[in-house]
Amino acid sequence: MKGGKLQGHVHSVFRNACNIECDELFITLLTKGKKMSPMSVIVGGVEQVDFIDLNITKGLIFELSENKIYCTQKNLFISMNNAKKWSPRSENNASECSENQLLENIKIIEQGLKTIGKHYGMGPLVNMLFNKSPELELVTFNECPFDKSFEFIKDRFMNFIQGLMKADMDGIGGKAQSVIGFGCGLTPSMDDFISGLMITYIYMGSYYKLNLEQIYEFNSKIISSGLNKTTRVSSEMLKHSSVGETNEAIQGLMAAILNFNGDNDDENHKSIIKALIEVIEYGETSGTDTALGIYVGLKILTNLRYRRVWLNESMCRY
Amino acid sequence: MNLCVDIRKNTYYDSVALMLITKEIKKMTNVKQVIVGMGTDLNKELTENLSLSNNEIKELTPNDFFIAAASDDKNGLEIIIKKVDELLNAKANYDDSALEYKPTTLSAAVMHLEEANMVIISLPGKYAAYEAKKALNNNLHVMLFSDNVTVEEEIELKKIGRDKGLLVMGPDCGTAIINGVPLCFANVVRRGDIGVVGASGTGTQEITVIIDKMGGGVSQVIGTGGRDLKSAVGGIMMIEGFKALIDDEETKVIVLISKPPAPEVAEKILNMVKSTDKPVVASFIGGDRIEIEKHGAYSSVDLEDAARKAVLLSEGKKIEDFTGFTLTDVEIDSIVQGECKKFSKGQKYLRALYTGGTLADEAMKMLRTQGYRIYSNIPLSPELRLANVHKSFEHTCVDLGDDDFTVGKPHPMIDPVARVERLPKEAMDDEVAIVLMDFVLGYGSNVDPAGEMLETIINAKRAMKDKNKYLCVIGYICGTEGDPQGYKFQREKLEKAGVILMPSNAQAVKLTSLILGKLNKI
Repeated sequence: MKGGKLQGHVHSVFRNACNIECDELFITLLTKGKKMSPMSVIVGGVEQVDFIDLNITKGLIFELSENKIYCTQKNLFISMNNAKKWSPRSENNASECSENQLLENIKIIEQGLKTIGKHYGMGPLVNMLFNKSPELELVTFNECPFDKSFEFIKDRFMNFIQGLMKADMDGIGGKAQSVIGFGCGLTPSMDDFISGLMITYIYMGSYYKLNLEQIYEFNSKIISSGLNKTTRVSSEMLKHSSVGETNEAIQGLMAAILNFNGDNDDENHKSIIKALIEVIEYGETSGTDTALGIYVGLKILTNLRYRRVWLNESMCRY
Repeated sequence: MNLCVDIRKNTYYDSVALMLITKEIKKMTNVKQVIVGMGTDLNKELTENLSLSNNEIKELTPNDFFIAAASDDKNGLEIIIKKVDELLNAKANYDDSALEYKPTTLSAAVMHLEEANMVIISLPGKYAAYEAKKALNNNLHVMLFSDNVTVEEEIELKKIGRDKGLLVMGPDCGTAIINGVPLCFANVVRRGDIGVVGASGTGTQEITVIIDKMGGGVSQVIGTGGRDLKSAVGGIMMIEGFKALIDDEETKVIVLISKPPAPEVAEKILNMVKSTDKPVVASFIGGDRIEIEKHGAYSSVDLEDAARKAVLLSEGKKIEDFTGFTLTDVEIDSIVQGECKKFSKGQKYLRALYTGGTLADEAMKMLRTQGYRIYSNIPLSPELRLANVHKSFEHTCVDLGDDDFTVGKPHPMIDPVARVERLPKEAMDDEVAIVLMDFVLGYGSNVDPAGEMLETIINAKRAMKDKNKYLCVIGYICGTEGDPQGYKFQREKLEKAGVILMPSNAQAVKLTSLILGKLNKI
């Protein structure tokens, strides 16, 4: 963007978010208080912005330059002069905690998800995994009726998960394609789940010093055939997640899981639950679906059998 | 069966709206199957699989919203479209809340309402102090509902307020009644001659409610925020509020409410008692009664006792500590014996699920004096902190309004979902005997706190019964007849569900203690 100018149009508008489509780019304006996300701009200032009250409508033209975003049709102007840059990739992929602590932290996530998650998006399918893949030692989530839509997707989902566990580099694209776009919502539940999985693979890859290059390649294969099978908002999310770019809340949760937070167990527990809550609060079930993806990803990669395939060659010799 | 398809091209709804639509359409009697979503390939395939597809659906793109349903009503489509529009409009109206002019800045609000002399600020903490300062510079009293304001900012604001003769109620001030107008979380309390300065939200609500129940009334109820009486802030607003009530002609009796203040702050405040002829009741919950009385103020056993003393003093009557019950000893004994008969062997623990922090604190302090070790998320001593605040241990009392449960969520006095989710878990524990709960009415609170809990209480009791156990539920409604939720209505609902209601938090705790005493042989 340096020195240049872009033109885009409003793709969708909500009270707290406004998506602008500029050719290949998809930029989201967010109101104050929202968590920062990849390719997003939080609109600051003393007053709370409401994009619907501002009468921003679909199709409206916005121009974007290095120091401002503006819409002449509505006389709207957002100055970027004092904008703080934010990285969608966590600077701190620290692996501060021991593996035992990591396992403890996963238990906290497990209990938190059981207690405060909204499971009707992906919960029934994760419950199914509990039975089909006992070696993952998952827990089940209550009150998740397995209706006909889950019957419809269950075999494809299992196929995808098996491809994931086996690190099926060649087949994973097709397997993912057969499930991407499943579920209600602007980001369908399955896409949120896959997004959580991909992010976890990258963070855990870094934690266990796995072959990150291969993990990135695997993630790119996951999304290789599915991006046009889902909504624009969701395909953008998947693209970012596949390279480890995600919103502040998920970054915070991953950091909380991979570290020992505070001075004692109680503080650690509190900070993990707090981070989990921030993720769960996204959308109706989106946050829980993403957290479930993270949870399943954690369970797969803490299992040596499935982690082994990602070990660097040099490490395999041990 | 009729296929009903509603398509909205290039239309996006947020996920909350989509989920609401799905739930409500599923509930419709004539609808047998429904898919709501965006037209992704997979969702289209799903509709085909469930025989809900047609050519229109096949043509959808991922950016199109659709509803596909099977209905046995031939007008199903019209009914569904009408319902969807109703839901979306209701959501839009709810979001808009009112069409009246709503100024978006303080300056605009001041110009719009020139006669206003007070501002309520409820913003994220980091912006609140800035706005409060602006308000003070406009010579407006401030009620600062926001928390997460730094102590340094609080001190600065309160000093400005003090120097300009303005109130700075807060930060984190939830309750005030000024000139008869309840602000934020406050009850509809009769006007009268008792002035209150409170550093505790539900503590202030409890005292004002009992004043009303006893036939008394309040002149002004000034909040200070919970940190005011700590050393750093030095009680700036308690002192200013106290002075204001001393000077107020309508105020005949003054009540000061706080958790035990820093000793030097308590000293400063209690020294002021000598400067007025008005009787002062100091309710420093769990604080040093001797110290209070040494300075000429009246101390109290608990919040109820403070309210009772204030009313008796305003009526010029003799006062004494109220430590018992409103019911007779025989009546109380009959409740205790009756309840104890119903428990099974091994049932012995209390689970107190509070929405009001000060009420929870009062309960723990009262039970501590009876020898109980109460675990909590707001423990009276560090070793009693729950290892996991979401899981009770032995005797437990939780403040569901504390940060542990409210980060990013409404306070449980507004949305009691945290308690709705917690109670069934307590009922799964075979050693639980008693559940103690508060129901806080008034402005700001949930429109039907009793109704929200009712089904959960009934189910919890039933779950225990299925295991040949008994769950005793003791409750207290902190509210007045004038409150918008209707005190009587709330009471009837709870009593019908088998909740034993007591007239104050203190009495509810005392009854709990008596029953626990029998079960735990204390």
